[in-house]
Amino acid sequence: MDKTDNEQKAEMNEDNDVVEELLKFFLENRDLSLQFLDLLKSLKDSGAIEDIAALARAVMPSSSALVKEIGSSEEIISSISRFGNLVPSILYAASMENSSDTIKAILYNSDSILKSMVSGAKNPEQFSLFKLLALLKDKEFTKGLTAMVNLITALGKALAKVPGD
Amino acid sequence: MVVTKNIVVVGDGAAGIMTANKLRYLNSEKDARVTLIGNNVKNFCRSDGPQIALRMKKFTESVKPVNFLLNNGVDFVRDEVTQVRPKNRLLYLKSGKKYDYDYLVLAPGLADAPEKLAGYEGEAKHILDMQHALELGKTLENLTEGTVIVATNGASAPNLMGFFELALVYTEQLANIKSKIQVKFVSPDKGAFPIQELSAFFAEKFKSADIELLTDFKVTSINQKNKEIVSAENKTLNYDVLVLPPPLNTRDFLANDDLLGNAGSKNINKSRLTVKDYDDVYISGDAFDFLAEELSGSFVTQSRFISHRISSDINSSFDYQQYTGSVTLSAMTGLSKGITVSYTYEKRPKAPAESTADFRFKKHYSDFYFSSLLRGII
Repeated sequence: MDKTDNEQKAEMNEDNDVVEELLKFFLENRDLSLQFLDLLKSLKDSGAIEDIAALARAVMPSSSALVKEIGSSEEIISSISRFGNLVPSILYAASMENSSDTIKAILYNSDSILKSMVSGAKNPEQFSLFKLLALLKDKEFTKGLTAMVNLITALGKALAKVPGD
Repeated sequence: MVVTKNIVVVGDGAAGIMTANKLRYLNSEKDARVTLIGNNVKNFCRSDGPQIALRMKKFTESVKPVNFLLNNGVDFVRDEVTQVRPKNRLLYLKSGKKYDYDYLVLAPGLADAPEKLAGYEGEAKHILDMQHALELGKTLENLTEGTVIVATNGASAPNLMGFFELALVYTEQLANIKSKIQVKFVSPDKGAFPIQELSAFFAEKFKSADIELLTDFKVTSINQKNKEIVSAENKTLNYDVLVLPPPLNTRDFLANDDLLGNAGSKNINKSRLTVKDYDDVYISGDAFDFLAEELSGSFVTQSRFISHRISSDINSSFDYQQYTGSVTLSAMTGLSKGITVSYTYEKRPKAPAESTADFRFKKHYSDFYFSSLLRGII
């Protein structure tokens, strides 16, 4: 059904009210508005806005109703909230003086660790009791083995704290 | 030679857990041993009380075992403190054990004291622990008509904002089902809320939600037989369901003359959170808020301040600062809106603006509380 003249006028007045409110807000927060415009300009100059728009076109569903439904679903908000709260535990682990160094030591040597693991998996060896005993005399092997045993013990202690049903 | 400092945190509620975890984070095990003493099995996210009572949340999301919430390296002693001797830096426990300390953080919470208000026990409901929140939920579910009075009885009640949240959200739930139940809000203050800036906001919200607001009414007794609350001026008000925070007391061991004695709040330094002249004894959480007798409660900023102060002494890693009484509170104001307000001892809060984001934040607060706040990373 077509809108009557009065309805159209009422809508236009409502729009004008919103624009007036917006202008008032911008004028009252002049400094903030200018900073925001500067930010927008630098994003545009760097091409970031086009990239974001292209990304949105590529990955977002075209139906705005669907986007709204997905975006406001209780499950997705709850999942985002839970994910957001995982970040501190990752930060915690990475920022402790010792664990940070440990993580770095592992990551900076991850290439050699990965290569030796892959090579071991591709060329499996038969370990006789004598070979194992000989390996236990190897300092690096015992260090790694102790580290793994300690890791499993620590994991056991931590997992025992996780509340079950 | 490095001397390992002995830090003992008393109380395994929110303030105690967060302080212990944060102290562990800020100090190496060589520098400090952190021991937490308490006898709670689980920790309840108290802020979820209204949502539990109003069946808006699975209650299992609002509670976690204390043991699970402690970070690696915090020694947990399940026991109860019976006596503190600050001059000798000694703690005595119920089990007969004693502990010495270099730094002591007292976060023992408060003890229910229903005997302080005649008629309270077995009659009034509240939302400050899981069991009572669930009980209130059951009572409200079974109510088909009548009057629900939500009352507060002083600014020092823990989770005071929760009682406002309960009244507003419950009323909106009732409006949606066109219920005949009437909600009344009773405040002991001149306005709806003890803080003037928020008082006008809540008065307006109550008005638009059709909640009758009665001010200047401090509940001095409850007549269970007549189902009425009685004020200091002998005014009475009838109810079918009464929601009122329980009367509370500080823990007995704090009343020791060496600690707070009878002077209570006078023996607390509000800008250092220390007790008497001891610079190695701190107090935080509900016990501090109760004694400060103002709305200054934020276990988050208190725990942060205390752990930074102690760590600063141990490894000079932080600037020397004073506690500003910084508080941030969030509450739902209905089924889709909420508010967040911040203030300090000096800076008054602004009149809050409602938003959906604040509602969402409050709805998912317990995850933030367990995953980030209590872990001491914020």
